[in-house]
Amino acid sequence: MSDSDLLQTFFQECEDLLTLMDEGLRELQKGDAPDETINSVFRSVHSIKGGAGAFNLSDLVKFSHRFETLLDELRSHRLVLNDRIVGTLLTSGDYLADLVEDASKGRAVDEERMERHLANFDEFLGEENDDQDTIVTFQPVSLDIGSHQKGQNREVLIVLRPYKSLLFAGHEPLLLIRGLQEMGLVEATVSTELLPHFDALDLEEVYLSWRIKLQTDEPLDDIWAYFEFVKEDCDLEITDFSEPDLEADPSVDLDLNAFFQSQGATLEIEENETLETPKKESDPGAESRTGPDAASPPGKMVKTIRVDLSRVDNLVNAVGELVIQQATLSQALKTIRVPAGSEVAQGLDDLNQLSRELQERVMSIRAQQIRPLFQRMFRIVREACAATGKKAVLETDGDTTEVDTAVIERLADPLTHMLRNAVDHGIESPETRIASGKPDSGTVRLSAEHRSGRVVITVRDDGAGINRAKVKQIAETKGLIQTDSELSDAEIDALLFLPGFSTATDVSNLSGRGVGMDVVRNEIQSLGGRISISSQPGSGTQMTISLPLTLAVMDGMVVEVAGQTLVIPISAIIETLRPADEEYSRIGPGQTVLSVRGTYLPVLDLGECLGFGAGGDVVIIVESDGELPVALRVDEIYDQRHVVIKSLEQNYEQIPGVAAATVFGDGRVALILDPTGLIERQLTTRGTSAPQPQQEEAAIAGV
Amino acid sequence: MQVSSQSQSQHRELVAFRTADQDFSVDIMSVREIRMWSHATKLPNAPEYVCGVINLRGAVVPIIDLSARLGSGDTPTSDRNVIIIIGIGSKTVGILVEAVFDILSVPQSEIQPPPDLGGEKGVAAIDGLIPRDDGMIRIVNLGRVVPIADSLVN
Repeated sequence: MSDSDLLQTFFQECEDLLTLMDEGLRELQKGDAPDETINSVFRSVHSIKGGAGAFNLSDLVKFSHRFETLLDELRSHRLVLNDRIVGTLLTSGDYLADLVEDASKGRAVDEERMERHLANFDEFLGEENDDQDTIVTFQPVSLDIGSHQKGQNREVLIVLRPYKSLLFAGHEPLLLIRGLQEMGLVEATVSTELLPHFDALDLEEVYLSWRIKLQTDEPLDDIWAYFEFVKEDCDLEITDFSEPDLEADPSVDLDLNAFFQSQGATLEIEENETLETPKKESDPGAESRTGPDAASPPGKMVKTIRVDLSRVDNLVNAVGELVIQQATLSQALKTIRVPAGSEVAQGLDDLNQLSRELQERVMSIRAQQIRPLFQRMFRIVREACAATGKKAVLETDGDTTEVDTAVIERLADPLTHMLRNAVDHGIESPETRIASGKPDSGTVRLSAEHRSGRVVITVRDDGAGINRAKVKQIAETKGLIQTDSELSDAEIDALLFLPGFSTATDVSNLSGRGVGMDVVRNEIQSLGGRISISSQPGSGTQMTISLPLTLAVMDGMVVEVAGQTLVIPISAIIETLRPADEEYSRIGPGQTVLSVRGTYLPVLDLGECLGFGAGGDVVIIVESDGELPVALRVDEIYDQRHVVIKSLEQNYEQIPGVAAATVFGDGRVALILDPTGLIERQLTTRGTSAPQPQQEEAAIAGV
Repeated sequence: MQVSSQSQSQHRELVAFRTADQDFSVDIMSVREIRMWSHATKLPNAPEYVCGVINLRGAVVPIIDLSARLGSGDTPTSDRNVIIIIGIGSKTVGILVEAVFDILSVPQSEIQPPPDLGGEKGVAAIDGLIPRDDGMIRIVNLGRVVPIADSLVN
């Protein structure tokens, strides 16, 4: 790994540590904090300091050192936690996060701000005494938890049992042992116990093993590294015989250790067994390790590896292609009329199941808990409160809901914006709240759950709700709607998503940054999701984001409309029918409703919506964000299929009403419908005067 | 040797094709491959010069009818039409033309800038002209012709 890779890894690790720290700090804020919580915060800060020292990030070291000192005082009960200290801890935590970000982006630190934050500590710690030197000389950390400080000779026992593959690979035990002399004093004894009788001797086999005593002051890891190239081809035990002289806080260095041994993006793969570990039973004082990875604390058996995200993506793509190929095969078999019960058909069924399973597993690698993202939002709410002088707490629910990694990354900005909005526009000022009989502190609830194949994330505040009269008035002044238009409550709420809309009469420095809810909606839509808003005057506003679970494969219903084949996501379909003519009724110009068991549902002709031509007499009833489901008219329903989602945006652009494309077994491309988007678009074009972007540019004149 | 390598650097390699009764060319470096016409899936509410999308080894690639794009009407449907797959920015796009007829190596000095005809758009679609005995070959400005690449090419 190059230095910049290491640095990259450090910053990734910092993110995890900051999350951990933040979590701990919030517990402290709640009051009943066990010592373990302070310890955990301390460890996080300490680990950041350690890493920062190794990379010479002096500002980060300077601040985290003071921070850590305060935590240490608390940890050792020399200081007692009170509200003021908690306040300082929280702001310091936020500032530390900022410093990490500055460092990761290579930005210079604002000296004055730094001084201000450092000064915060003085109240509790007294003036900073001159222990600066100790900080600056922070050693580029040696990565070995058991190693001694320099200059101390240690005795290490190395047991080397080569396999014959070691010799085949061109290595020579003699040279290996001689090479060790560079590290210190070597004393090697050969063991011949395994040597068979001459007649039974296999000339290619290795029967010898060596016990090597090494007096050295090299860290264990370096000795392991020395054997790096042969460790696959031999049994190797390296045991440190000297008294383990651990540092005061070994766990911290464990964390640090993790910085350097892990690489790549953050993806966790569970591995239930540790590496085969020939532990030394004798010598309780000795510290036996089978490799650098064995440094994980005892009892924690779940192993994770970090894998470059692109590798997983390649795997996902390959599985996608597999699904397509399998569809091709099924289609070919259908064409040559293979009987259903035959071996071939059964084999294909099995293959089908396997590839589905494979695909699910691959997707689960990409899935991550939404928790880290939610954790980041606490700070957003905290800052929003500080900026607006309001009081609000964030509560989260469903932190363990798993969402695709790519989705999590791209949700950060929209969620941040929504939460700022919730505090800035949703929650009232403490006085107003008390006046209306509410507790002075507002609550913002952020929750995530899986619902029928989608991930649903809601942001709910218990504020004043949307001021619809004001919203309408603003939309009128801004020319977004006509002055005399009659709008339903839901339609007014939807105005918030129009580009260029902002309710804050005076632009606050918080949410009024020119980014409106329309940007949020665009981002959600580009993830194949949708966002809706609902509000109860006086009791709050709820925004709901609904996202597809995966970005790779889905179950879809294949339909035909005006000669075009389309896929409708199964998750959106409620039922399919073939109604008789008399069940349709016309209401108003060009609008039809369909009576389904006594309810009148709006009817959309799918072919016309997409500009392909009139649709037929089969109806698919799909969910919509409105109160009622919507009936879509199509020509024909074929079958249900597992389809691979292919991006349209990669080479083209987003098409309203179309979620993505897919490739069928015969190589043809079919579009995957986004029913909700389509319905929303159709109904809004009919209702208000919202203009649709027309074909952008007429053909360029010929030459 | 010296002479040839020098003249090489001043040559432009172009793929020449015919559509709407006119001869065009595009820079060979932007051409990824040339494919036979295959069925394109229509896109809803797309500009009429976008024929639809095809599957190019798993990627969904839009096809632009160059003739329609230049205002000369749709390319008549024919099995002999070809699609030139081009890469522009990070996107891959197919251009529907009637036939590819040559690969040219033209000295830079022979390429004339398009005359200023006043109409901004029309001229912008063509980068340069190569005079030939039997007419001329237009060099297509892909950035202008492929509308989705506008943002990438400015």
